[in-house]
Formats: sequence, C-alpha cells, structure tokens
Amino acid sequence: MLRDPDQKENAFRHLMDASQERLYRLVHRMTGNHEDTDDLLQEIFLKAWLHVDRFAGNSTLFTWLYRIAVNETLHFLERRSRKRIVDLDLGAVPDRTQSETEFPAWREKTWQDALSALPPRQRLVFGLRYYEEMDYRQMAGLLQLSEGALKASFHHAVKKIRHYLERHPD
Amino acid sequence: MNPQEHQSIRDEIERIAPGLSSRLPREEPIPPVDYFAGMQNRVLAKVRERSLGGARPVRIGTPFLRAAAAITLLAVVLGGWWTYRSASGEKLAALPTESMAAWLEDALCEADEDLLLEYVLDEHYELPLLDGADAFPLGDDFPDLLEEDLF
Repeated sequence: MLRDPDQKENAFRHLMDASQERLYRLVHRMTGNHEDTDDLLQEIFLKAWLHVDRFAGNSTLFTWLYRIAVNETLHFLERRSRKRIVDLDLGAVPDRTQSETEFPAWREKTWQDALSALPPRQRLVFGLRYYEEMDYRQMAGLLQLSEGALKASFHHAVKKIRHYLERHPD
Repeated sequence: MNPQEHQSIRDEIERIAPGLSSRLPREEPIPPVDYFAGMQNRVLAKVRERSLGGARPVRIGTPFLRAAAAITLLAVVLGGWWTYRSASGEKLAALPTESMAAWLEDALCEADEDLLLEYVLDEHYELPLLDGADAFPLGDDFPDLLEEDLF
C-alpha cells in the first residue's frame, strides 16, 4: 500500500498512528524537550515518506523507522552540542528547560539532568533497555552494534546515573 | 510492560549499582492533547508542498556550496601556483643577465682584464679561457675582434 501512489497517504497515516507515540518517547528521552522532539518527529516521518520506496523489507517497517529516528536524533544532538559550545562561548544561556512547563509532573528535574548528562549513545541504550525493555539482541539488530558494546554502554550509563544522583540528592 | 523482563532489568541495574533501581522513575512524557493529529497534518502538508513544488530548490548549504567552495579553492591554489611559477620563471630568466651585468660592471671597475677576457670569450665566441697568453689559438685577427667587442 505504501508503494501505491493512490493509497500511500492513507497507509502512511496508519504507519504514523502505529509508531508515533513510541517514537515520540524515544526522541523526547534523548532531547529532553517537546519543541525539539516535535521538529525531529516531523523530520523523521518526512524522511520515511520520501524513502519508503527504498525500504527493502530486510527488517520490519517499524525497525526501519526506528533506525531513521535514532540516526536523526543522534545527528541532531551532535549539532546541538556544537551549538551549545558556541552559545556558551558567546555567553548565552542554553534554553534546555524551555518546555518543562508542559510536562510539570513527568520527571523530577534531577532525574532529567542525570539522563541529560549521559553521552547520547549511552542515553539511547539506557532508554531502550530500561523504558522499552528491549533485550540486547534486539538492540544490536537495531543499532548495528555488538551485544557486548551495548552491555558496556548500559553498564556505564547506570554507573554514571548513580554517581550523578549521589552528588545531587533530592 | 512485561513484569518479568522489567524485574530482570531492575536486577541488572542492582548488580551494577546497588540501591539505584528503587530511585529510577518509570514515567515517560506525554505530549499535549491532539498533538499527534496536528503533527501528522504538518508532515503531510510538507509532503504535499514538496510534490506540488516539483523539483526541490537547490540547497546552497550542502553539496552545492561544498562543490563551489572546492572549485574556488582549487582555482585559488592553481592561480597562486601559476603566478608563483611565472614570477619565479621571470626571476630565474632575469637572474643570469642581471648577475652577468653586475659581474661585468665589477670587472670593468676593477679593470680586471682576465675577467673581461673570460666574459667576452664565453659570451661572444663560446670559447673557454685557457691559462697563459700562449693559449689563444685564434691567430692574428683575434686581438682586433676582442678590441671591437670590448670598446
């Protein structure tokens, strides 16, 4: 249906319906705010629309979509990190809590900061394991990394979170 | 959520960092009401905009700009090299004449006949200067030629 021009839009709406919440959580966990998540989510779906003809069917459609989301988000974080360095050099204050008012109760600030302090790949692996309960084999297929590397990332992430929470008690 | 899987993850966390798992929240963000409907419409509007707009405009920011920058850089490097080469060539070409003139001037000032003779022989007759007065093998007409060249 996605390859049929007459049905593509309807089929694509179904695909968005089925995946949007999970992708939203994945991206929000990485960016920490709604505005960036919204921009990225639109970009991810737009890319999916443009390239769905090239989807080879080697994985599930959702896994393919998830890969686009992971790549887009990691690239975005890389760009944002470079921009923050420039902003800090220029004396600007990074606007990292701009949308917290929209989610007043979802997570304590300390916890958000602990997650944000992780390097993007460790944040991603921690989120997939802890929130999405993905096992390492699934993760390895999704991220094209070895299970050993993923276990090490999760291990480091947990250690760093504990260290952060010890230094910043509630 | 799979309770067994969830428990095994908590156990894994406990093994790495004892006491931490009880402090980890499970809540995840929930977007504003009707957010997804609006987001889908925005995505499809962008899709339609692209289909109606035909070919995408040239994106100056990425491959086009990079190619232009690479060509400009190459042109600058080649131009610089060419200018340097031309200048060096002229300089090299000019060097023997200038140095020769300076050498000749020095020689004249010092009235060093041997040097003058060497220059005239080398430059005009392409003959080597041989040691000693008896080394001139040119016969009787040679002093006249030499005198004419020098004065």
